[in-house]
Amino acid sequence: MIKSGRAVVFPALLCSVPFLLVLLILMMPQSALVGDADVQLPHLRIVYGEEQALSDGTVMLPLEIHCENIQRRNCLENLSAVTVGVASLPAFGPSVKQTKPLVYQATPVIRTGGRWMIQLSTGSPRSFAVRVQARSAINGKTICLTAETNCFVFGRKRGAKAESKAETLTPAWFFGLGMSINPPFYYWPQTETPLEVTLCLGRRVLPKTMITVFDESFQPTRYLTDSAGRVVYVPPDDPALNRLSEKAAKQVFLVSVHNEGNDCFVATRTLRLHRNRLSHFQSDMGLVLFGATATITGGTVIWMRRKGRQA
Amino acid sequence: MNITNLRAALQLLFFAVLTYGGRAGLRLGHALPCFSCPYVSGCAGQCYLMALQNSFWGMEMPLAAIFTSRGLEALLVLTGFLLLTLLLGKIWCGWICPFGTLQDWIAALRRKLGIRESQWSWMQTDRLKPVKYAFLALLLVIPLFIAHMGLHDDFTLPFCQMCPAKPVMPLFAGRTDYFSIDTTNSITIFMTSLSMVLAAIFLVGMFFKDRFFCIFCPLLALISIFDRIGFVRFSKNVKTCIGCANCQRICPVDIRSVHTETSKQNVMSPECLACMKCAESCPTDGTLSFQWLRWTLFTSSFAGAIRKLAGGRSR
Amino acid sequence: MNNPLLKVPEAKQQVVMRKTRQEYIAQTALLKRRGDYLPHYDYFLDILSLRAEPEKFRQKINRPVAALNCLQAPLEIFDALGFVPYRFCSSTVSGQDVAASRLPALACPIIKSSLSSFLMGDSIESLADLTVIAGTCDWMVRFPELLEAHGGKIHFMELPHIKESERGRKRWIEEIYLLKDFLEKESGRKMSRRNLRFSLEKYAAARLALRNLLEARSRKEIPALWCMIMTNALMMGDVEGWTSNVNKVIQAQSGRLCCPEASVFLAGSPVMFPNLKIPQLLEDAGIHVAADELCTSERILAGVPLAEDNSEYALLKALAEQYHLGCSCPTYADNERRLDNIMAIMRDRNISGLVLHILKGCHPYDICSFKMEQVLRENGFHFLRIETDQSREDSKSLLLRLEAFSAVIQ
Repeated sequence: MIKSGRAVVFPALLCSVPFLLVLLILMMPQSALVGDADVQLPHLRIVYGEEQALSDGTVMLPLEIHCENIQRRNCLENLSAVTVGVASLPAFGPSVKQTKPLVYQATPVIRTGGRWMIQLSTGSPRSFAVRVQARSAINGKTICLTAETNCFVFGRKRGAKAESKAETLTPAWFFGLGMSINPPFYYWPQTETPLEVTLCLGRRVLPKTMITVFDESFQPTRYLTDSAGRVVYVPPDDPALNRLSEKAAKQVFLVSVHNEGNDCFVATRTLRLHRNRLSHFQSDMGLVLFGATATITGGTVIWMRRKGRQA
Repeated sequence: MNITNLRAALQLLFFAVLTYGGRAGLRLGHALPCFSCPYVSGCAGQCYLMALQNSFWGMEMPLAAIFTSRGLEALLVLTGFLLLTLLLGKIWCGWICPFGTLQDWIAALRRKLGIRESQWSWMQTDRLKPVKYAFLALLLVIPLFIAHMGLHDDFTLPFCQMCPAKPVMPLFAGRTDYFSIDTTNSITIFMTSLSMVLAAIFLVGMFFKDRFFCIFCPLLALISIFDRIGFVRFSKNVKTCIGCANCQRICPVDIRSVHTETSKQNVMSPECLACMKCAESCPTDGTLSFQWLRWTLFTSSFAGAIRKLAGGRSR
Repeated sequence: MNNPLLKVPEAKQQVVMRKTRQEYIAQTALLKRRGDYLPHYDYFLDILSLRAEPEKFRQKINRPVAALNCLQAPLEIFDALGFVPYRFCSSTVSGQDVAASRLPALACPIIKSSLSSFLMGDSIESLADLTVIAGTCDWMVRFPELLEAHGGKIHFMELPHIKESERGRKRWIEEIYLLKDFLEKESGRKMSRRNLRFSLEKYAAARLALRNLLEARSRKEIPALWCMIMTNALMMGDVEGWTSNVNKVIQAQSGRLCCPEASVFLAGSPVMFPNLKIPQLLEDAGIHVAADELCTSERILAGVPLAEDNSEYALLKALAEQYHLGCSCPTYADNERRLDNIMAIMRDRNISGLVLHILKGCHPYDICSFKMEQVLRENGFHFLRIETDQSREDSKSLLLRLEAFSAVIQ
């Protein structure tokens, strides 16, 4: 689904053959076109775990860091300079309107049995922006990996206000591609809500760059950024998700690859999508039902009054 | 200023404060014993019924959480509700509740048009009394089923979903969203359709009958549990009552017991809204009176009743 | 007067009418000679004494007149449809023998007097355009039958005697609607909500004046006799005139104590002009009536008919219930509040004794008297039961008893 930019595959092939290769590989892992280097190209990915509501009102959200190549081979051991930054804002109130740059704080990675985890734990309703950065190298080529996500955790511990203090990461900490979402989330991301994804490297936006969206069953859809480096992505309505609880969510990944010189930049963004709260509201139906009931009720009262009955 | 005008002015004030106060930063919490609807964006405080039903402070809480700080917080919200209820009792209903005020405005429109109020038989009135307790039971039980019996989450806040205040009150904040059918799934279709049907019935009912919703209000049922220990008292001097039934006729919820009581002093019934219209209309001095602990808030008088009859012209 | 059996010979009529007029004139003259007479009382005396001179009354009022027996027929409805009420109940003795031949020997004297006034050629029939009778006591229930041959426009209101039940209240509202229909038909106009509201407000002023009058009486600023004359006139004639003149009297008498020391509560059968035997005897015995429950005095316009709506139904319902439920007439079966109310008033106005006046043949009050005596005595009040008629024959013995009672309550 594209609302800005043009999904033109041919110019993209011309401009960015390596990205296309990656995407094709992602789609067809066993393709004969896949070269060794591409097969080995890893990407970092944040995968949501099960949220745990603790008895004191604290809510803990585990996020697992995956690093895989297209063959889904775990590449975590190949990573270097792994840093995780978490920015946190109150989930409600005026401060949720993110007018200032986010301040990221370093967050430790918990490594257990080959799995890398970070835990977002809060006693109050918070909005989190999480960014994981790492480097890798394949065949002498430096690969800058980034993974991002935004999430809401509604902690409800009595008296919980400030979160624990940690080392604040300076802007110099940033490297690799950035895949930001505009407008910033004021509530959890929902289906059928347009998301403007901007791809940038440092302060430079990346036009005509492919962004691939993998849905919950890893089916890809490709978009090309416009001249301002933007893509508007509208997650489609999902009847299966609609049937579940409002709290139920599915995970969708956005992936982009950019080569510049000897460096390769691979960025992912994980979206935890919930069903849309308002898009299924049919006001016409509501007003018709309301009006019909009001008419029948009013008519019945008037009829009973005219009949001389008590009403 | 007579009590009718005083009440009208205070109702307007509380309506404005509770509906728009949040926009000025006023936060009165989640324990208000009145229909200050949480669906009104920018409301100053929230109706306790939402807290009572929900998954953190209310019935939808898992058992394991009850004896933790979460349980303590639920208890604190409940305590807040109890304190507010004990402090002002039914005055919340008759003087503060924004939804009650809206009902009074709708009834005032009917009166302006000269349309008579619907008359119900005593039996009809009596038969409708338990409905509010049924609503109260539902809003307590359904969250328990969600928390422990696997009932679908979309039944969460069951009363709020049915409550006519949900579509109606946000209109005052410029939101018309809730006059809709939510086609997300079959449960949301059912609940929003029910909401539309009930909103229509109640709005028409409010036009033809004073305080029509209050007859069924589960919050009133909840508040009335504490009538006996509340600070607001409603008493009658049965010896001076001439039995003219002004109190019954004027009562917006058709309470008969104030008129028929011939022995007991306490005449605060579960249906009473403490609007004090009965005391204002009672033509015998000191027969009906509302007290806050031992201080008299309002007492009936012939002069007051005659002033009301003469429309304030006879003093 | 088509029925020859009911026909009173012309000569007899003339005699009775002359005697009746003399009764009114004599009483008026007597009152005007009193030391506490004020010119303000003339308004009330005129209204009451014109009862014997219907043409003059009509000239004075110059509006359609509705004769009625009881305050159960709401006065505001008459007023809203342009009628002036006139209470037809009579207390004259002159005509009683005319009616006696048509009634049992122990019939209520008020019924006798009232019936005789209908039998006179130029009395009620020429005074009122129509007659409304509420079926209060057994005598009044039979009254339309007694007037069957009268041929005038008579509307009978069936009074439910269990007043506090739902069915009783519904019945009475139906009766009020029927009264409204009857008056609309007779007046040839529809009753508007505006007119009814206006009448309610007019009577609200009268209610306030009545209340102030009764309070002035209980403060002993206005003699009970004059108070009774003024209250008697309330159900007769123009209400605004009544209100303004009562207010003038209250103002004139404000702060002047002019009544005997001993105060009593007067209960029982109605007392009406020109037969003021009981209040005069009480006064002679040095007793002030500080409160009463007479349907010709304090019980008129009891309470305030309030409605939240302005709809016709709501206003009529308010009137129906106010006049019906607010009334403590002993003809009702469910009347438990009456004694409590009487005792509360007695305590409030510091009255230690009650005089129960029973006209011979006035059975509802008579039946209640036994329980009343028992309850009052149990509650520490003095009680005196007087059974009499409208003649002056027993005045001396009554005076003796009242003087003794006065000594007791002081």
